[in-house]
Amino acid sequence: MKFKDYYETLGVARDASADEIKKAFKKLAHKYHPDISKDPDGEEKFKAVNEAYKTLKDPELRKAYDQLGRHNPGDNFQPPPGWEQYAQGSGGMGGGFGGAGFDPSAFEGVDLSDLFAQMGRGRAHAGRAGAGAHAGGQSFKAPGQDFEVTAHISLDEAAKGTMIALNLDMPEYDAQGRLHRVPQVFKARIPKGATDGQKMRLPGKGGKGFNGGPNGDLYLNIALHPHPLFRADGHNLFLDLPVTPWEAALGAEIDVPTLDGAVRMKIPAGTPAGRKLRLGGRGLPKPKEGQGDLYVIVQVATPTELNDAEKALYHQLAEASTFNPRGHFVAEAHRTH
Amino acid sequence: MTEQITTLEATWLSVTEFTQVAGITQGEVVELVEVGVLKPLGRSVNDWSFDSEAMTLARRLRRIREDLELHLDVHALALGFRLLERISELESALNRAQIQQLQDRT
Repeated sequence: MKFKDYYETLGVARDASADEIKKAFKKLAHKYHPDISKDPDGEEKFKAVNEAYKTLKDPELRKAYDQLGRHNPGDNFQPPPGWEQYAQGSGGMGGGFGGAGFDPSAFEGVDLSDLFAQMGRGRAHAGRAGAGAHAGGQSFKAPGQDFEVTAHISLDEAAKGTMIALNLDMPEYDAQGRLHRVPQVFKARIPKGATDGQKMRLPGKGGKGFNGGPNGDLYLNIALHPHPLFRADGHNLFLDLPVTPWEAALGAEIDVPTLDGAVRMKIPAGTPAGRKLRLGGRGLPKPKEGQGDLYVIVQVATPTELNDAEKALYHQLAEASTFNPRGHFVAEAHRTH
Repeated sequence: MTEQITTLEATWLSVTEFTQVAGITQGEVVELVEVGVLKPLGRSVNDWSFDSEAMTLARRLRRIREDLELHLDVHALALGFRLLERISELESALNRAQIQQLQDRT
């Protein structure tokens, strides 16, 4: 079993009061909670802080933890002989650890957090049922854990529907109530019409419950890979369409890519940059019926290198044109002076 | 062993399922609907159907409440829902803007 220094994680002294531990936790939790924090590593940090707090806030668990002694974080260690009394005393361990004599190898490969979480559950149960009313921890039910996973699919897959296979490390309880990660392949069909950020709940498909407890739920998020051309917003798609200055000024018919191949689109004369043109029904299909729309955003592209003929024509245009795109600057200057 | 393949359909939650996911009482859900924070489909409480966006916000708020050991009354819950919703809208707008920037560069 690998040692973790819970006091160090919370930044408190080993003789810190319950109040000090709580305060230290609150401070760090507000700093690192993944739903609040800006820290990209917030999730990992919060997990560590939470694990430390869950153990140290409970006087019994804290006592059991203190009895493990001090080791360097990450060092492999074994609990001292006799330690299992804490485990058994807590009611949660049942026949799991050292029921018949102490077996240090029972702790091999066990994660400290799982161990204390299990002891905590056992104690909660023992408290409810009345100490000693049940034989060890064997009779209590524990619900399975909820599990959340993200499936990454392409825009084309979202449009046409697809099959996914996800490799999950599903949290499951074994006969002793210990939590294990069980590799599992989850196959699912995503029908056409899935959107980016879509969330689904699959009741009972999460971690298995213990001793007849209900299974947890599986939450699945859909994330679309960024497409090189299209941006999705729900079932609508957006496409930037670069046009030449003369196409924008004179109008043009342009082949515009869509998910089902190019379509010819009319750009009206005098189209300003940024104008949104709608191609109805060319977005992502909706699950039952209908399609989103494709919005084409006109962008006027300017040539960066001009040959002599082009240069001459631009000069000629500059001479002939009365167009002033900055008329409103002048009006604004008059207003303020 | 036959292989089980699940078809993923859009998630809608009944009011009972929503209270389970959100970890709040039905009374609190009713109040949140009354003040317009939650907008389920359906006319009467028993017909209510909550979409997956509401579910996601509810789960997020529950995680914050439980992890930080907060005990929120219904007004604080309403505020939490509104702020999380706002954040999620801003995040997706930012996300789209970042993709656009990437596309412009290529």
